[in-house]
Amino acid sequence: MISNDSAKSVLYVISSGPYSNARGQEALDAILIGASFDLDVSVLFIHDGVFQLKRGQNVRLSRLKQFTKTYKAFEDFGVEKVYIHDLSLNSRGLTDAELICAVTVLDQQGVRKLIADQTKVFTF
Amino acid sequence: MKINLLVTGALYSSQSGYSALSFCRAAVAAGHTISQVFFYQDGVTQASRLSRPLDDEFEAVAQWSDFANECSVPLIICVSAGERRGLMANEQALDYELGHGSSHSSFSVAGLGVLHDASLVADRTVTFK
Amino acid sequence: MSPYFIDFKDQQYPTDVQGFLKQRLSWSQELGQKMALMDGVILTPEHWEIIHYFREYYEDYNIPPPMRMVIRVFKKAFGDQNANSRYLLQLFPEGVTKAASKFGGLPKPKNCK
Repeated sequence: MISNDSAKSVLYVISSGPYSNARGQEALDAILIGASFDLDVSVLFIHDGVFQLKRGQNVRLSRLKQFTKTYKAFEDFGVEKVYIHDLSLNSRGLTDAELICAVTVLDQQGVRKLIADQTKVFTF
Repeated sequence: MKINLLVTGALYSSQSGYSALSFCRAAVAAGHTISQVFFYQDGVTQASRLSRPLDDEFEAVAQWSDFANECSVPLIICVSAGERRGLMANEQALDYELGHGSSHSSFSVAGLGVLHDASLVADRTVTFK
Repeated sequence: MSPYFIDFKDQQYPTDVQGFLKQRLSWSQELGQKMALMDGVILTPEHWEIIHYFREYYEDYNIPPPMRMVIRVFKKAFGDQNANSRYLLQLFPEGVTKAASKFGGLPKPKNCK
C-alpha cells in the first residue's frame, strides 16, 4: 500500500434504490473497506439512491436482509461525510426529516464541487 | 496516463464488459497504460469459464484473456461478489468442497482492498456499469 | 440442507463448514456455550459481555462492531488497562470478531477467511 493515504479522498456515489438489486449492499462493502484504509471517505446518495436512507423500511416479509441499517453505524466506522442530493430527494417526495441518519443536503452546485474535489470517485 | 477499470455490469445481459474492453484497447492504442481491471458486483460473471455464447456473439472471456495476455493487465474478480454469484477459482471451490472452480484461469481472485490500492496509484479510475 | 450441523439437545442446528450457525434465530445461550466448547473455549462472564454486545450491535446495524468501538465500550467494563486488543485476544485467541460472532450465532463476518 502507498503512504499518506489519509490525504487521498474517495467518493462513493450510490444511485440505486435498496432492494431491487445488490448495488447498495455491495457499495456499502466497498465503502467500509475504503474507511478501513484510512482514506478521506465521502458518500453521496443521488437519484433513486436516496431511497436507501428512507426511514420505515421493513423487510420482514421478504427474504432480504435490512442491510441499510449499517448506514446508521457509518460514524463508528469512520465514515463521517455523508451527502444527499436535494433535487433527487425532493422530486421523490422526500425530505431530510424522513431519513434514517444525519446527512448533509447538497444542491446541484454542491454535488458538482464535491465530485470535483475528490482524488477518486466510484459510482454504484 | 495510468488507468484502472471497475466493471460492474453482468456478462451478456449488459453492454458493460464490451464497452470496458473497447475502452481498454483504445486507451492502450493511444499510449496509455491499463494497470488493472477489477470486476465487482454482477461484473464478476464476465470471468465465467462456463459461458458459451453463440458463434456470432461477443466472447467476453476469450477476449478478456487475449487482452490480458497481450498487454499484461491483471484481471481480478472480487472474492465476495464472486462467491455470492457462483464465480470462484479452483482453490476456493476446494475449500467449500464444491469440485472445480467456475472462473477462467486468466482471472485472479482478490478483495476490495486491491481495487482501492490500484485506484489510489492510478491517474484515472473508470467505472463501467 | 447444509451437510454440517451441531447436535444439541435432540436437535440438529445447521452450520456452515466453519461452524457458523445458518439460522441466527435458532441461537440460544446454551447453544453458544456448546459451540464455544467445541472450539475449546470455556466462556466466562467477560466473554458473554462481549458476545452480547456483538449481538446487540448486529441487531441494530446488521454488521459486527469495529474493534475500536469494542475497545471503547469495554474501557468502562474491564478498566483502562484491560480494554485493549491484547486482552480481548486472550479471551478469544481465534480473533474477537470471528469468535464472538460465531458463539453469538451471528453470520461469519466478511473478510474472515
